[in-house]
Amino acid sequence: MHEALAGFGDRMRSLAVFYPVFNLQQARKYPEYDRVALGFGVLLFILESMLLGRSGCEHRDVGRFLRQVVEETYGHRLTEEEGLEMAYFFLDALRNDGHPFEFPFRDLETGVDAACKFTLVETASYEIHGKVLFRLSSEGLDLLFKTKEIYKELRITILQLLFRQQVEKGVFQEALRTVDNMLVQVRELHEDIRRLRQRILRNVGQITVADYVALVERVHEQFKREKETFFFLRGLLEETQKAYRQRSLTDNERQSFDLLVQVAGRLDLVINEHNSLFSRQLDLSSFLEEAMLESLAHTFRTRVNFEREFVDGVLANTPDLDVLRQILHPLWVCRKNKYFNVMKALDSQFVGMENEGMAEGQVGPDVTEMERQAERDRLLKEQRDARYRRYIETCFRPLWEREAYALKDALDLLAPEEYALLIGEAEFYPFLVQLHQMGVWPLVVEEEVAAKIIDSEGGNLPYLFVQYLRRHPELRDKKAVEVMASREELALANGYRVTNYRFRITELPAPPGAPAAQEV
Amino acid sequence: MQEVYKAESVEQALKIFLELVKKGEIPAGSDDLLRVYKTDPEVQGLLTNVFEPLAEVKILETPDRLFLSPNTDNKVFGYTNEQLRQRLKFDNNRELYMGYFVMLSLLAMFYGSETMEEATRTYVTVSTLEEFITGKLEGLAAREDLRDLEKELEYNLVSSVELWRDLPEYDQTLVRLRGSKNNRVSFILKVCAFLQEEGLVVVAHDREIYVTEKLHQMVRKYYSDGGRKEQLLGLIRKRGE
Repeated sequence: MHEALAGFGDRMRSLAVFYPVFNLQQARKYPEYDRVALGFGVLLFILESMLLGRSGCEHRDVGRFLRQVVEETYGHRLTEEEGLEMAYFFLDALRNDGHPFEFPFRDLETGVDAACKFTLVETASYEIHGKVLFRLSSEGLDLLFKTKEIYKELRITILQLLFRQQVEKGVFQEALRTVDNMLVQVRELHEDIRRLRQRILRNVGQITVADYVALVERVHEQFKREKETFFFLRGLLEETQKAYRQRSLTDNERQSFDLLVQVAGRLDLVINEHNSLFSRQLDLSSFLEEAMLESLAHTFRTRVNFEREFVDGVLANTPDLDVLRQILHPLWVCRKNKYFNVMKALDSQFVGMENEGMAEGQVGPDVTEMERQAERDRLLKEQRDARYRRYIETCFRPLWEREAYALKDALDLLAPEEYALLIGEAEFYPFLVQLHQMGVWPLVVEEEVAAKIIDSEGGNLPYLFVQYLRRHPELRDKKAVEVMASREELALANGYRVTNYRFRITELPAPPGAPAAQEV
Repeated sequence: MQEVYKAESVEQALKIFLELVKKGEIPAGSDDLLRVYKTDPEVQGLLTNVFEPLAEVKILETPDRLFLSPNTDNKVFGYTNEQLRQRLKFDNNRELYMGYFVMLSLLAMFYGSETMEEATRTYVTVSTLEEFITGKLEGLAAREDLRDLEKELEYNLVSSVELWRDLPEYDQTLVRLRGSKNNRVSFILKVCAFLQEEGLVVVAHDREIYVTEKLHQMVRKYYSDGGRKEQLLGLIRKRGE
């Protein structure tokens, strides 16, 4: 064997993960587009959703992504339906219609035929009503990382190095991306352990004790090293934040500091995930012992081929109906028999419920009804928030061009139908009162303060205002706006009378304040 | 020799059994019942030697959960064909037979190889399953003794072949596919909706069918037991002899 061929099998396995992507060019569908590019784009899109910390993305997200890319690249506007169709095509192709990809090859090192099986996209979770979330499999992630030349075992370490450099150089925007990337890598380690658990669960025989010990040792060493580095990085961030806090900051520096606070928050998240990984891998050892015992029993089990033995058996013998019921019966949940006790009539009963449509015999809280109520509450909150967003936009719109104005100026900018809608909404008036009660509204988002303002059920104005400022970062130059009452009354078209509030650009209060926040 | 059990063990065993009857499974962390089952030989013995044979059930143990499976002809916890017809909203036994065949075919799509270690695929589209079933039934329809078989039994697979053949593959006019059974795709979705209620599959977009870990474990635990498999295959062969 030529020494150039050492490790040939592993290299071929590394190469194999690319073939499904190139294979897309052979498909008959969508010849007008570059299917390799679009397929690769779909993989990158799934990676992007993982980087954003989402648990996965679904068919419709991929459909929307493809519509956007096709429109931007080819100028073709696809309908939502066509986008979804295209998502089905690419997701089917990249998942090989549900089968793992198989790549056979001749191993030139050993001289025998070999094959590798892999998947690129896997199911992250199922949700009720048939929504399925996808994420990249380990091989899928490998493929994308190979296009950036980073090896799997070293990914977290390399990202840690990169992160350190970025913090030291003060490029926090890039550090933020790196820390998100680290989170994906740590979660991928979680997944590795989950997959190992599943392999053990399904066939402990495939995992030898030596394999297991080697894995635990490798993982343990790797964790220890990474944990020490995380500890160091957290210290580095604390030091950097301290240095910022000790001096007065220019606008640019304040922006950097805000980013730094975000980076620190995300790093904490990564460290927490990493620590839980540490405890989970210890838990794996007892799990394995148990699975090994179970494997003794497994050796006595036989194999089943449902197609050959059952389906073909049924076709050949055409058994009667009951036989099929008996074959499938063990899969179903046991039928529960419920019996009526006549003494139930003497149980304590809900009274005064006749008019509320409570079903007969129903005495506890109805879970379905509670779910419906929660859904109704969620929708109401969404509608209320949308209205408040509109009020904020309306009241602060003149701020873009003027240093001072009155409520009337803001209302004059509305189209007649917008004006009629707004003054007819009862919530607009308490909104104005809240606006005034707050006095000075900072137009600069302090990340430390913003982190404590949460999206809440009621009284959500501070949160929505922070969201407004995030959408309009250019307002930060104006520092703050003060809302003051005036003696002048404004007569609205519907006959209502309100104070013609005054709005004025002002300095940030010292120490820097924020809208009354609901702290976590 | 008469066996004597501690009152505490009987209480624990009954708790486990009732929880299994109520929910069909006991995952790790649920009131420590899984740990009790795994670590207390007396409790496990009671369930295996007393509860299982009397209640005609089988407790399937995996490292991280327990499942309860009714035996093939369980009179207390099992379903009759009539009850299943009601649950699946089928009008007659011809449809029910076809429903069973769809379920078996679905299992064949995932567990069609000799290995039980991994399902052979991660999902199957409804159209692929429809093609598989149609292909299998066409083979049966070509048999020369078809008419004799049909006369012999009122309801069997032969009678369902006609039912399947008469259904169009797909009905584009339907808004809610699984609400109907007037085409093959809807018929499959209807069966899958029942399996989804049982926690055995997940159907996405009325297009893709995924099997759950629960189904995987149950298939692996129940059907790969040599004795049980032979018993079931024996039932099938009895007709052919």
